[in-house]
Amino acid sequence: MSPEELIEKYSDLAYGLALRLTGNAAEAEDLAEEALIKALRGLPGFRGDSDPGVWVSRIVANCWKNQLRSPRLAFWRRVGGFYSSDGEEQLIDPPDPAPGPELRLEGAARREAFEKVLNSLEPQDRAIVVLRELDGRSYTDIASILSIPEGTVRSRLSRARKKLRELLGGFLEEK
Amino acid sequence: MTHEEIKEALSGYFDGQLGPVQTVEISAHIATCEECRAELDALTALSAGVKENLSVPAPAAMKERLLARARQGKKPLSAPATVLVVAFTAIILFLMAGVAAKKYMPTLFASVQGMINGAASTLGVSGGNK
Repeated sequence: MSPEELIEKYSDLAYGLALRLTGNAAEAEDLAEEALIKALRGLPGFRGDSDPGVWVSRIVANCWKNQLRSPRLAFWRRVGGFYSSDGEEQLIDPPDPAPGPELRLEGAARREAFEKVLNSLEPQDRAIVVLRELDGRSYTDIASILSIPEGTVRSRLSRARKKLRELLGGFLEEK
Repeated sequence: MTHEEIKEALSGYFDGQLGPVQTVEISAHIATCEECRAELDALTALSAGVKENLSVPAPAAMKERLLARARQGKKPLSAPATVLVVAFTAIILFLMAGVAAKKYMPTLFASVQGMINGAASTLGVSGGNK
């Protein structure tokens, strides 16, 4: 795989995952760019016997974990109110689970509701949902990318889906 | 498996991530359980909704920056840059060879140094005669 192919094929994947991990477009762009630059540097050493998508996703997840350990970013997150002091639980309110009929008909409102509900999950649960639903990754791949046991992927995905369904109720029934 | 256990495992079943024994057992249960079929329908709707509403492409500017970087990494050095690199490498090698010769072959080093000094003084004399 050439460096150009790497960027063409995996930019969306890296950015999508970064966006769900950080919950913020500006931070996601920084995170995805940092991860893809690392991937470009590591490309000559990439053996190609594993899935490049898993490899790139793992780099994004590792960069994100490193950023979480950064005291500077932790400070700005607290100031921004995105994370609570333990860096895990979010302060965003989920949408009204029973929106009015006019709101339910609007595509933009649907999208906003999905965004808001997804952002109400913990960052790691958001990443699991995105890796499964948008990238179609297996539980084994997700466990490898996020460095967690496969059983944890299964249980957290099931729990996250339950929560999403509860909060999205009206939006899932009507299109 | 009980009905409740199957309900808990439906997410993994939906993803096709369970073992064959569990998959067969759950398939048989779903054929007769309306509640679990409704659960599966809800998982299908959620999955479609997430795909439809949460796919986000990477910003074009970021992609362009990275593509430029990818192309730059592959570009061969320009001719002046190549000359500079070769010259710098040659100087470094020459100096290292001089240091090594002085340390490990002092006689050879002294004779080469004498030849260089002789040539220099000759050139200096001839230059001074002009």
